[in-house]
Amino acid sequence: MRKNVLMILSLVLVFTLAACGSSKNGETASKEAVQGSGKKVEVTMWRTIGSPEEDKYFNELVDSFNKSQEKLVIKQTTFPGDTYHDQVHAAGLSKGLPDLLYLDGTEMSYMAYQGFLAPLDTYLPDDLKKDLLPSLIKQGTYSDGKLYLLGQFDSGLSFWANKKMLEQAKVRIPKGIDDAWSKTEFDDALAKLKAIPEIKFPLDLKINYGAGYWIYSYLPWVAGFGGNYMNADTKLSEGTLNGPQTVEAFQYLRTLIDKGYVNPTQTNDDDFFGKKVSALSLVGHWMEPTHKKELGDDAILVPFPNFGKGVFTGIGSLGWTITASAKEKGVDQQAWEVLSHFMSPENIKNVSAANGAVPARISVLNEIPDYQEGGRLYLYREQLEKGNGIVRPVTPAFSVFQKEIGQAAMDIVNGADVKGMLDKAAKAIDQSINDAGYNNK
Amino acid sequence: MKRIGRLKVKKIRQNVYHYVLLIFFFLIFISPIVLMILSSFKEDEIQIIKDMSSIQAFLPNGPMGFENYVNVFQRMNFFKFFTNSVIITVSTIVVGICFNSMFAYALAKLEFKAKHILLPAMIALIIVPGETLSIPLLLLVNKMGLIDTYAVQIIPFVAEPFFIFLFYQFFKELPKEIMEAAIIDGSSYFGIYRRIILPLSKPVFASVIIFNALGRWGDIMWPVLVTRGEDVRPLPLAMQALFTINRNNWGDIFAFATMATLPILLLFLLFQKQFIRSIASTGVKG
Amino acid sequence: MRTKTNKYLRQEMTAWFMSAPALIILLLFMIVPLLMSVYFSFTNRMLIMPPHLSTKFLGLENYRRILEQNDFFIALMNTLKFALVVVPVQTTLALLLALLINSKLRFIYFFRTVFFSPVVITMVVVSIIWSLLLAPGPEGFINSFLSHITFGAFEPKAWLFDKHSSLYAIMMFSIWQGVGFQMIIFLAGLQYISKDLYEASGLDGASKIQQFFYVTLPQLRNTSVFIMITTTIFAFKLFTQVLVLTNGGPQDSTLTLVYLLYSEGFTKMKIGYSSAIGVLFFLIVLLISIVQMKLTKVNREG
Repeated sequence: MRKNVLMILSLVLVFTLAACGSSKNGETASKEAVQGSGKKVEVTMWRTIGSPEEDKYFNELVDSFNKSQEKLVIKQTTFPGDTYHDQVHAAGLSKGLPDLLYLDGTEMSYMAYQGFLAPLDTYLPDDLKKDLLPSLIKQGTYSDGKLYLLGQFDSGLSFWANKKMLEQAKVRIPKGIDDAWSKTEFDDALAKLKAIPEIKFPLDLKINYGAGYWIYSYLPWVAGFGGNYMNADTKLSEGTLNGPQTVEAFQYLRTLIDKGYVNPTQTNDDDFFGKKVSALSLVGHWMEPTHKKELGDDAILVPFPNFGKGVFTGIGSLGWTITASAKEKGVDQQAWEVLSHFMSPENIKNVSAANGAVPARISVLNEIPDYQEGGRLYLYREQLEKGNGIVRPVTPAFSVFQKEIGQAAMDIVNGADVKGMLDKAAKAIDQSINDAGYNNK
Repeated sequence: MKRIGRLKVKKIRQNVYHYVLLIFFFLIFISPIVLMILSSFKEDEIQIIKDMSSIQAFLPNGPMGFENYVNVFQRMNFFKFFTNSVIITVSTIVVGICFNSMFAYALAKLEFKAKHILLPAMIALIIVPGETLSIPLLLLVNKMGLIDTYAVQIIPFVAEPFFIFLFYQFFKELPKEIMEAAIIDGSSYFGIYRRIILPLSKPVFASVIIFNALGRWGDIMWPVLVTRGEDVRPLPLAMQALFTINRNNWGDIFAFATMATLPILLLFLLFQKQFIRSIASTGVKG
Repeated sequence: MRTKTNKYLRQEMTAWFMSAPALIILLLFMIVPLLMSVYFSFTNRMLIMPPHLSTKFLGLENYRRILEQNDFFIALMNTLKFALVVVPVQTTLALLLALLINSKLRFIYFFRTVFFSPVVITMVVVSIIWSLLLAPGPEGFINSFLSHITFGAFEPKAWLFDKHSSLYAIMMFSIWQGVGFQMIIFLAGLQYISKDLYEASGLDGASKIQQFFYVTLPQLRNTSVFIMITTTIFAFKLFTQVLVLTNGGPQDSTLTLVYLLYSEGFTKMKIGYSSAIGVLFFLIVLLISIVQMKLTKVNREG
């Protein structure tokens, strides 16, 4: 037994040493790199791990930048996406944020509110600003009027439709936002599609994505009914989220389910492209590669219907921020240098090629055939360029909005009382905002 | 003669029933695991999803191969995360059993005044749900500068009231006479713990080790809060990287899960005899 | 006399010396956070204090609001429901399985390992696998299986999507995942029972069933109590399954105490409020444990 105890103790020692050793090694190595190669300035960077293709793009981007540079070196750390923002918050709390921080557009508000971010307006040159899609400025600007977030791409959101099915059901195929279906036309289209035996659920709302998706996916429809999630003036939800227009929009969701147009217990992803039991799919640009592979030219983009108040689309994606701590450390200029390299036309083209999102710069869009008038993806460009994009609540309380709205939507899908659920969500959201004092000045 | 024959038939019939029951439960317990392992070899992503609705989920179907495993290794430094998890789990267990058993020994076998306060206090602590303490704990380790280290994933867990209690129960049952004899022989109290109590207590160690290993190996909430980079990231957190918001690659996820699970299963298969025998004589014995 | 004092002193010193490491860790990483938690529960503390807000003492405001709102009560009821079903079912099933594998039949080691294997799969993976199997509609494997063996009489259920079945679905695979561990502990208990007891009762003409009730069960008393208490503690911590699969829904049917605490503390970042939930949670578990211990003690004396 004594031998065992000794062995155990030595094991502990080895592990502790290994633990200390490895973390120290890491530190010294990076410092040496900084000093060894002619005093390169280090810019720390965090990002989430996206799809394998996107991950590869970023790794190559960072590598090539580091090789090409005499003065700067990027030190990147990658994080799992699901828990990324929890880790970012924990880092904010412990003053451990990096210089260059990749954030979901919706998370920018909270980070800016807490003073963790530096405004980008001072760095952003006019020619780049003019070349950006207007939706990116809308999404990256916090309620203090300053720009904090710069995306390399924006999201594209509309229906993906199965052309063959629409033709079979003799449904008119809209060419652009200007001739989008009216509400009656849409209802009629769904009824016709439902009549086709193979089409079990004409409309695929991606309920399998879970509660978090609704705040993004259903907002364009809510806006189409004239509603919204947050009152732009009071920054609260009372009277807006549970206001008559939003209630009507969610009531409509119930009708779609009651009529059997939507599968309320959808768990698989492939109703539209695999099983082919749905003719319309409410989903974004990220499914483009899959749809192309599985459906070929039958997969087309169709704008959302005009529910009365116009055609809207969701906007917003991940983007880059420079932290306040980078400014304190005096490396904000360097961080901007890295960021402006990321925003170069070539890199923007490459990232879109990797993740299928809509490129941020109009000059890049002009070069891609799919994004020209009549092109497969032109609708994405059209709606973002013409300003039909509607931004999700710009508020530090976004995560509360997302959780409560998602839960209410899921419950409504499952048959709960619409007004009651929205009232409950509005109450919970506003209480959280007041408790946190987000609206105090 | 006839009677023996009847007995034999009865015995065989009993065994058949026994096997039928065993196989019934065998299917219930093995199926989801078969699903995990087989799916990890299915190379067609869409096939995996399609198969889920039928018996095909538990059978090889479509192209099978190691592609998903190759993917996992391409997408991340699996061995690094695996090593991290091993370091964290093993260190917690090793330091933990020392600390916990020493404290338990003092409570069970030594006379000291504070014992009468410490024992009930410790028992009350067993029921504190660890999750409720994670936020104050985060603020605390942050002040201590422990963020993003192995230490922060080990130290807070090396003293665990539940394990102390298990040790305490076991030590309490050991006869007093052994101790008294050793004292007369001039042994110190620590010497008694090391030379007499420990060798007698292998069983309770086995159960604590298993309890502890299972808890630490799968923990995810704490690493989310206290780790930053990849240097000290454990397996469960690394696995989250495979869940992308809009598209899960199930093949990769199952390959990862299989690799995270099989080593422990193998350990159990190898040591189950010792493990069961050891629990049989712990404080939780009949 | 002197040696006695000396001996006592030596014991006291050794006791402190040996308790110190664990005590220091417990004090630092359990007692201090516990006290912080209690303190936060009386304040408006946020995870990261916003620039426009300072930490204020609120008195019992957080508690008042918890009791005023339904969430806590719903979460408590769900948690209790989960524990009330899982603890007895899992314990009984574990005992049954232990009896099955407590034999010298061929391949028994193999069966033991398989029955135990779900225990070593992390809950996240278990939840994912079962959510795939529990898919709603006729395409879901469980649904199609049940409908097959009942010759179509079984109506496909929405399982995790139905507020009437969601919690039960979670119970089912939680038991599946955890029962192997209790089984092993029961098995150990069974193997500890002296063979003589069975032989003696066999000579007295007791049947297998009588032996089970008059020898096995009484001999497993302590094991059973231990298993019930630990299972209760685990049951009260129900969280991962909910986080991965249902987020407390549909319609709060799987909202549990730990999940509520998490969502108030992390999603809404209200540390003060979530600490108050934590304190109440602790008091409730304490109460239940005391009752449980009292009951088992009374039984023992009786």
